Amino acid sequence: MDQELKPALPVERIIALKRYEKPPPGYFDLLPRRIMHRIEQGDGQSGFWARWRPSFSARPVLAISVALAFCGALSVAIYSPPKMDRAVATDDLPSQAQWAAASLPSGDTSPVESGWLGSTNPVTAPQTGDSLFLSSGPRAIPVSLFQPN
Amino acid sequence: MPTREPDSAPDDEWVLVRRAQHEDTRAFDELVRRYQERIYATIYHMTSNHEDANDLAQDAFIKAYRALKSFKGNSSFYTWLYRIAVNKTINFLKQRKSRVLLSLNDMDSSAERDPDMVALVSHNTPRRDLGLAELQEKLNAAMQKLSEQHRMVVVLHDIQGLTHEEIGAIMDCNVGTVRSRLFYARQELQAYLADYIR
Repeated sequence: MDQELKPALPVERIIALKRYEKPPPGYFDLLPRRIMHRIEQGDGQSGFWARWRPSFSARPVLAISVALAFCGALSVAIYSPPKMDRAVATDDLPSQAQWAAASLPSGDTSPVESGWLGSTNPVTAPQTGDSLFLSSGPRAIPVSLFQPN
Repeated sequence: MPTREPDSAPDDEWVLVRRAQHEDTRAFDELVRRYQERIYATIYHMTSNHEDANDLAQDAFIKAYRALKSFKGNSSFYTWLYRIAVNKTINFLKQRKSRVLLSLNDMDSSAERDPDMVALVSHNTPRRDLGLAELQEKLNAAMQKLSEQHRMVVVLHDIQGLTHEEIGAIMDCNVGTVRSRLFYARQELQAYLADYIR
């Protein structure tokens, strides 16, 4: 057989030469110190991000889905109107008798003065004339830009 | 054949492990010093990048420290530690698939006197002018073409000198699978390094 066609070395013996690749001198004195320093600093404690980061990196679709779900939940929380608890809201309303009493012209105080009705009128004058509150239930109060006579 | 460090006394190791499980950091430091070279080398030969190997070796030891309480001693500590390092490395390699950046360590000058190296450069190969740096680059490039599983078997067997049984325990597969992966990995390497083998 021609000398040039003889195998020089089996591949595993060539690969084994990689064991001569060595890190910089002194590296193995530093490595344990770095590891112990990180342990003492509390590095590697399992947190939410530490647990999920590898999964997010490996599967971008999962990361995008979680991000979209988070943004959706945040948007709903910000833009949805505050929900009023019906029972609580009803309790806060004055009763029918209170409405009627407060609307009487002979009453001591107006609804505004009694503190449960807002007014756009800076001069909190007692309301005169027929009451709007004598109807069967609470209703919206029209706001007038003109001073009452 | 690759040299292999003798196994440390298992009793002594078990004492260190038990102390480390009770958060004795000096005992864990001793375990790190005992295994750092083998763990680092395994990761380095898998990644062909010193910086990545440095980060991953640290992460593997820190993860081992945090998980030490769950270590029951069903396998040897070093098999358990290797398993952590191997899983961490394979996960890392799956993520970085798109970028393979070689950052190679220098070759020890004693490589030039290795009989296999002498045989390689003095034999009638088409690459008689083969230098250490070129050989190193070619070897690493060829290794990076293998799948992670095939590369890991080559690293653990041909470079680290572990037995098929030990590799099976570390990679959680049977000996037949280890042998088969080694066979196909060597075939692939032979094709990539054809110029240096003939």
